[in-house]
Amino acid sequence: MTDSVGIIGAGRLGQAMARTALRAGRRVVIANSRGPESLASVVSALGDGVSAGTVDEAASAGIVVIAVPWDRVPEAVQGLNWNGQVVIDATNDWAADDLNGRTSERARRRPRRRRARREGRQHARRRRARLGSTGSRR
Amino acid sequence: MTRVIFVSGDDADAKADVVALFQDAGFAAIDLGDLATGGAMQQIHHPLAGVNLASDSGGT
Repeated sequence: MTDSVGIIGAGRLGQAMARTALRAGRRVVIANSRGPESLASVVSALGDGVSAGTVDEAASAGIVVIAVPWDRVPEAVQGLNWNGQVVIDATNDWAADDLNGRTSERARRRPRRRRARREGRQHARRRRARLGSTGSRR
Repeated sequence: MTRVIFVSGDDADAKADVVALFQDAGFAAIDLGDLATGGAMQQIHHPLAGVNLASDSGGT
């Protein structure tokens, strides 16, 4: 299942993650908010093993990378159906003044959990891991 | 020498999948623990964010 990597966001970070996943021998589906047809040149530059997809398609891969700017994360993941995928949160809150000392994942998770409880739904089981760059994305 | 990348997470299986992905890509992955511990170290403006390290042992 983890032989496929879905990437939500096709900017510098998303493309770097696509090259990394390709180097690891994984198949890559890359997506952005503007739809797969907007990614023709990106996909052809990345080469074999990468296809453009919808955000839903990218989010159904075994490993899903969130690679959009911090302030666009909520809309990028809204409405996605998680089903046990591994989610790599590669985003950073560069301002970091709205976190009150929490990590970004925690800040983001709380409202979601509250919302799920209020609606009486069992929220989808999600598995998360955080990726830390060692200096390439200043 | 391989470049070091840090991974934090609350789910051991998920982390193993992510570590495998990055090892296959040629990184030395180092598991920093759960999100509250490791995530805080990796968070931007925190000690390990933006640090560029290499390993001669391949990491964990």
